[in-house]
Amino acid sequence: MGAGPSSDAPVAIVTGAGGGIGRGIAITLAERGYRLVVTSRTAADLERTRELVEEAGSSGTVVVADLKDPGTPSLLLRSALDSFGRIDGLVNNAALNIFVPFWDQPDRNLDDMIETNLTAVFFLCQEVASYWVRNALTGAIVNISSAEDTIAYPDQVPYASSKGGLLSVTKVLALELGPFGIRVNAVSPGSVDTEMTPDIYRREAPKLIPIGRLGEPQEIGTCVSFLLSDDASYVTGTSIYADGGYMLL
Amino acid sequence: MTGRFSGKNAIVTGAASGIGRATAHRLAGDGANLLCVDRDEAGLADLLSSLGGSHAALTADLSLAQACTDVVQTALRHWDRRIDILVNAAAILIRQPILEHSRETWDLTIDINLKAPFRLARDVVASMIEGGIRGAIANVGSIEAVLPIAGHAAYTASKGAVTMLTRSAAFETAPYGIRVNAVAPGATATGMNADLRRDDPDRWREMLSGTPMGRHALPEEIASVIAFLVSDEASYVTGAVVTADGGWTLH
Repeated sequence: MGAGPSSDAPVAIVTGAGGGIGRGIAITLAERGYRLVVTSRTAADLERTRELVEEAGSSGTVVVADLKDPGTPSLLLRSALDSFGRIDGLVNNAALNIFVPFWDQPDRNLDDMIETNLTAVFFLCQEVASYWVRNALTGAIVNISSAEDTIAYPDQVPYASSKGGLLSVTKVLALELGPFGIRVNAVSPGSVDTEMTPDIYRREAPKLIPIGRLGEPQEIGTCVSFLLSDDASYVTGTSIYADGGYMLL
Repeated sequence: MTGRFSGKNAIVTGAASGIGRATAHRLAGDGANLLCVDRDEAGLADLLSSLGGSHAALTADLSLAQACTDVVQTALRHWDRRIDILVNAAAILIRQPILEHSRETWDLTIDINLKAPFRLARDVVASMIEGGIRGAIANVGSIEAVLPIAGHAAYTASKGAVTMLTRSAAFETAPYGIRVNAVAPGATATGMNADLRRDDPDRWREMLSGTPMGRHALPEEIASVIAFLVSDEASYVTGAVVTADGGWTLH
């Protein structure tokens, strides 16, 4: 490990960074020189993500917060500015999925999924974008959607609805924030191998996914890294489907 | 009364005006029994008198979960537990730039445009499965889910969500013979944009200039698509989002 990142290295916030795809995104961005604000609801998981970010040669700040709390957007922005003095990217990765047949989904599940997967994302985008606009700065936002923003799976109507909404709100964010030099895109993962992935997914993957395997969290991270970077300087309002070809079948 | 909806029981929300009102007329004209739902009590009374016949109406604020429950319970009591058709036409549009968007406006839009169709469809589907009724549901999406308009953030989010509510609910209910579809209208002359057409006609004309047909839709032209989707003519159509936009999304 070297001397760590320089004080003008870019800074990104990653939500849902305590494990799975969020942790993979954080590690990938750290490897590419980003300093990170990582957030989730669980302190111990975040500490592990921070260790991995540091092993990748960067530095991270941990914020334990619930995205359903209306004070969380300003808390996250303030953490980035207090810790690193700048904010360049926002990655909205945190999401909730509760599997229940449509006709049995209680209102509580609907409310929780829409709040976490859609409403909280919008207001965190608003917080960070407002800061950029107020200070004549620019930046990029990546929302982690899902192949389910387009295709249907059983027992996940509220989740699919939230992701359909997220894909559309990504477009309107891109439309309205484009004149300010802010780009907004999405990555829509298929099945990704995380600690929560059931074994049956791994066994069935060769049959269901043209590439023949589940995705790795860092394969979502590389898509996010591209969309945040200047290599994607003319890319806005779209989504990259990183699904190993799942949607082709 | 005879017609392709003869003997069918249909709930239509947002029935007092616009696409909902045109749909109510279209379904009733083809023989359906209606429960017309809206928060505009006077508008509902006017609709019922223009429909004639023996249709029912319920004044309800669909932003409230309890109101959604009441709608379905009222329909089940009124029709001896049989609902054949649900049309989710109620929706609101409040224009607000993203950087000034209030939480209150966002929540109200999501509650009426997304959560109410979810709750109503969920409870209607439960009753259809219980009764072995091979019913049909139509939602009203928007082409704005694909081609957004600045200032419409919450509306855009809600309509993108309705698209996937339609597709995922269709997927789960297909084995029960229940169909769920949506229409995605383009510029349609309704109360939702009456202020814009009156106060900023240049802006409205500019929007229409992006419509290859060069004109807006009448609510009846969206209602006719909905009527098709909930009819037996569409017996193999489910999870579809039928665009009716005068060609807006072609370019």
